[in-house]
Amino acid sequence: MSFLVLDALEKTYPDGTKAVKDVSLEIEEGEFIVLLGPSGCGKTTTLRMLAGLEMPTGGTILLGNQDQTRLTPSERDVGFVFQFYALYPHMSVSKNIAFPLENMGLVSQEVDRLVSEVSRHVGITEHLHHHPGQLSGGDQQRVALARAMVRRPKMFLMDEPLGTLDADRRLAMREFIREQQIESGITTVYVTHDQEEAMALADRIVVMRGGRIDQFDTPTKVYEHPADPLTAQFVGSPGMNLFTGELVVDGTDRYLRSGDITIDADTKALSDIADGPVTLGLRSEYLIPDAEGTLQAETVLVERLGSHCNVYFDSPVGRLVMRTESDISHRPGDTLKLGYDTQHLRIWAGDYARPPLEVSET
Amino acid sequence: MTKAELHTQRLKHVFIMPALVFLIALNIFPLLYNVILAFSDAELSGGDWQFIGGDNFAEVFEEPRFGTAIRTTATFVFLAVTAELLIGFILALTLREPFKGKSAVLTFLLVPMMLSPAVMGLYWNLILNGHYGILNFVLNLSGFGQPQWLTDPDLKLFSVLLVDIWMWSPFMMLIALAGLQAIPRHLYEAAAIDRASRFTVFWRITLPLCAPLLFLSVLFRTTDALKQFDLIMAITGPNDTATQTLSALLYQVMLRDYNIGLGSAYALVILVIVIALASVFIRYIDTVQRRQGRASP
Repeated sequence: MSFLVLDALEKTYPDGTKAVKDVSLEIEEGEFIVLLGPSGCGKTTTLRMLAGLEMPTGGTILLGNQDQTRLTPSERDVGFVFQFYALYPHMSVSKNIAFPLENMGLVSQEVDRLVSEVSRHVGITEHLHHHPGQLSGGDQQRVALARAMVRRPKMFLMDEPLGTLDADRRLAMREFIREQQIESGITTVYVTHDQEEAMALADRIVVMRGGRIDQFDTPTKVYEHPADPLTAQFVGSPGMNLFTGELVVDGTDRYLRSGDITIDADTKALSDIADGPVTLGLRSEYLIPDAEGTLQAETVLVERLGSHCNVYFDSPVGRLVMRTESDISHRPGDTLKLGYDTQHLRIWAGDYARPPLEVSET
Repeated sequence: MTKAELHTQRLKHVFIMPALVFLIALNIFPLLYNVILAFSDAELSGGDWQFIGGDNFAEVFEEPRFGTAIRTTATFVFLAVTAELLIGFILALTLREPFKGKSAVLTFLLVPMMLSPAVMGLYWNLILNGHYGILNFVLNLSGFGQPQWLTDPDLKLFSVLLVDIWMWSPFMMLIALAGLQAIPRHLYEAAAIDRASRFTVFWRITLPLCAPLLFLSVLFRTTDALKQFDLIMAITGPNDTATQTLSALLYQVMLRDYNIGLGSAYALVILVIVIALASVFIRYIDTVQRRQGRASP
């Protein structure tokens, strides 16, 4: 059995809002799991239920084979890092870190030893006698991490811990968090709405939308084979190129059309899709200038980003973006033909621009 | 300076003027005039007066009623503020969580604070009356005897205290409630994650985070209780030695003995005591706030 099992977890608030609907996950010990999704998708509520800060209205939570669904936060063995740090403002940094240890009833020598050990580890020894209000955001987050780590809990839960930091500090803290997790080997569930953060940190990503799990897979899989067009557009920077088309069945022949043009596709990929409207997706790095290509495109804009360029085109299928590492010489207004390797074309049944209405369950 | 700038400049003065006039007429001038009178033998009946140096102050410190009044005031302030703090804080803790009818309960609790102390003093004078007061009527029915609230020298100060506590505990409650509600919820969540017991949460999180505001309300109540006059005047009268606080003594010297010079000296001494106490409190609050500094969001 897996280390952490969520089975059909649900949360309905008293006002009838269904924040989490039927979330089931199996997480292995030592994994770094990221819950990713736009705000209001239920990721934070799921995390808070794991901590015991919210009580589920349905389903179960098993941690190491023990049913934890109804336990209070103190009865569980989890460390929690809050988005706004939640440090005790009236206590010094060392008192903050010592607080969970003192509540366990450890003797003061032991408390002192563990506090100085963990603070050396996260690099805040020079701040031990300061109050949280005197520290920068990054250092406050380090203290919050130290407070969560010092007890060596079974599991770490982190609620957008980098959300309030400056862009340059975020990268450093991201690296630091991952390094600590690898070193300690403690199972971590991490919530963010930043897809790049999720890609960088996760062993596996849980993409959530509307209180449900959309996809649960490794970052590479989520990037290459997104479960649906919304995820395809959400993950990656720039997001996946999307356009609509139609699967036409002509006798034994199956092919894709978009407007007046035929779209090249892997025939195998088409076999299990019903005829009718489809959504097509292509990552920007798989689009290449190709004299034989079927997509006639007019350059609109070139973004030179140093390591690569993003080139935006207008084409018969709509706006497309191409990522290229070589410097591009052409300018807005230039036309060319674009091609791609058909194995990278993603095909979903249905028109993403007109999704079927979700039936309300409330 | 351009004409427009000059105009703005002049306009600023116009706006500041009323406040300045009020301040000088109602605060600064009376204070200075009080200092002058304190060194004089002026009387309420008017007539010529002259400077007599520090004689008034010598008289203040030799006056036996002054020492008694200081003890009475200190007892009164200490007991009143302590009881109000405890009752107010306990009320705030019980009223902290939302419940049905909370705003109605709060409004009822705040009524005593909104009433005029002089009028309430007179009401309580009737309630506490030893012979026909409603309190003794009830006590008598329940077999508790008839304490002479207003005439027994051991009970008089207690009676005034009772009314002061009744009036001002709601004020403490109001401030404490504001303090409690300002404590971010995520700190309690963090404490739950950190496995703190309810006892630990109260002593190490709720109380210390509320303390600066509680101290502020203690400061307000202390400076106010030091000047307590209306209730004493209405319940036992200003001349009763058992309840004669500094303000009551001041009233007697100035407006019963008509001794303006001596009274002004008393007033100055009381002012110095109040300012000294207040600055101790303010310095403490300042230190706490500076330490918590730019507190985390």
